[in-house]
Amino acid sequence: MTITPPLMELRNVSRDFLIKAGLFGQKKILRAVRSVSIDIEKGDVLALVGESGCGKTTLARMLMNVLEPTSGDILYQGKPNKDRSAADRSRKLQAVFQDPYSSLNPRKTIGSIVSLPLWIHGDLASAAIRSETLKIMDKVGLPARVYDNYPNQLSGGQRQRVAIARALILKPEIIICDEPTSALDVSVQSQILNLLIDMKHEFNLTYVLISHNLGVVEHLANKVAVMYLGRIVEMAACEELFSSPRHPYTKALLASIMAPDPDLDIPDVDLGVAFPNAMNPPVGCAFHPRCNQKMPICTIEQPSKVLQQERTLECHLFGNGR
Amino acid sequence: MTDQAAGSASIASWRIFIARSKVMRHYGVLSGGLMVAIVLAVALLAPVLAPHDPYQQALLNRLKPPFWMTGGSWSFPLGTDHMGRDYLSRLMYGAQISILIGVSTALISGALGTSLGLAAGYFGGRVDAIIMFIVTVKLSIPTILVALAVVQLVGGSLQIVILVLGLLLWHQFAVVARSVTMQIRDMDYITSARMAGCSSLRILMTEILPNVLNQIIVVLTLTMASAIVIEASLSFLGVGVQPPLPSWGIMIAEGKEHIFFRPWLVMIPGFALLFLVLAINLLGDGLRDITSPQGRG
Repeated sequence: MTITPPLMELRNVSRDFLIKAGLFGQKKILRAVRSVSIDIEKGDVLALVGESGCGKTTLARMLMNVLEPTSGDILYQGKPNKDRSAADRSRKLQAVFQDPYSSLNPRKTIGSIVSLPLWIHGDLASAAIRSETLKIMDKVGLPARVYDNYPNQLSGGQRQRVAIARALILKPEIIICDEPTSALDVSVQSQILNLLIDMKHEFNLTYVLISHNLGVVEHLANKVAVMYLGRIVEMAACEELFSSPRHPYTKALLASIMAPDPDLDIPDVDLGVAFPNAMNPPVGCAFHPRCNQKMPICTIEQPSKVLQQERTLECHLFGNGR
Repeated sequence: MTDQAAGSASIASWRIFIARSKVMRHYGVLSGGLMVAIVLAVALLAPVLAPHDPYQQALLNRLKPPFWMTGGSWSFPLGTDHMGRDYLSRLMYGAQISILIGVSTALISGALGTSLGLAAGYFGGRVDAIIMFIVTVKLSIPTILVALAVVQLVGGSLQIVILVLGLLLWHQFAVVARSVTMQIRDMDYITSARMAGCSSLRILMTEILPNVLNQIIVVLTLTMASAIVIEASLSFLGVGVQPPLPSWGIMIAEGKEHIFFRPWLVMIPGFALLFLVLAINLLGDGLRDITSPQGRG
């Protein structure tokens, strides 16, 4: 173990939402993220996977500093986020969003969208800002002539390149990619993924990748965290996780990848059909209503975190020295 | 990417062409804009166009009929009022007052209402509740009564009327700005601006306001029309612009004594009012059609 703290560290981060149903409705608590702990080392590509509503996006928004955790700490190089200035936070961490149609202001030109962070942070003169902006646009493969264009004049792939250029212009350490390709045409997806890989090498970046496209995850990530109902149920190195999944949910998730063969049916993942409800999570292990290896203890007790050879698991199958 | 090769200059001119062809195909905007332009030209050129001084009284020439009636003459094309002042000249100078009231009231209430609406929509929660409460209170205040009270207290003048109307007609701006802001607030580009380190004020001014302005321009025209009508009503009641200024409302009020025998004294300023308000409403409705994505045209 080295003494230097990880680049980013989440310690028991939780986030609740208060939901009020109607005027006289009772207030309910939605536990979107529940005591998540992750270390992100420099150069990592950490993938967060899981089905819709499992808390990936809430977790990402906490990493982006647009949502405060209800409890727990997010540390950057050992320093808690709340002790850091807003300027420092935005210099070190930027994001690329899912939908390049809602992530670019339709009333601003590409040049002003990409250069906005420089205007806020840098003390550069406007000529320097312009040349810096054109430089970064060139890096992500945008021609200089779109500088004065508006987003609606660009294609989806070009728009996502604009979003990437904006994220890169402050030379951040970490970029949060929230489903960076799922809104794009299949033909463009791989271009954007390759661009992300190139930029990672060029700028020595660390990515947090949120995706439910497991193919993308396998291609990019070196570390995968599987989320279910706000918890990380399994986290391991990418090859490890894909070659030998342990948690029943991870197994089902990997089995659900469809092979590109029209003769094969939709894969049978052998899961129960209980709909995961974050307002009223099941007692014990949150996954037990759907689990195909359910044991009596699963309906009573929340499994604790187990560390097995660089892999964390939350499942009674692997607890207590099994 | 190569089919984007058309330079940005030609794309810009293409956008202007689209906008222009939309205007040209929309008869409401076309006719409304033309009518507004006519009134605007008359108001601005009143000192040149008006045949007489609108304030000059000539008791010998009082209550002359317009030129098309027996006893009318071309020296007073629309006749004279009960003080012998030229009616056409007063009508032209009256257009100045109506337009001045309409534009400045709309600008004051627009600035006020839009900022309140932006704040309510963006911050939500308690700020929203307070601002919407103020809007509700505002809606329950009768405009005419407030104007009456203010004029009793400080005396009527053009500036007072503009100020009172400006402070009373902002609610539409607030409601529209609020609802549009609430739609935009959760867009990813707002999150991105916040991550870039923008202050709330900067986000409101540079990211949200330009997207709200479309709808605000429409409200601006409609508020202008209602400000002009309310000013005429106030002046008719004697609590608006004070004589001898040639407001259309005052002209109607002064003509009402003669309504049975000389109805044109009421009809001529009434028609002018109708013409201007209709023009502005046509323009405003048309602008809404053109700027809304699913609009006609």
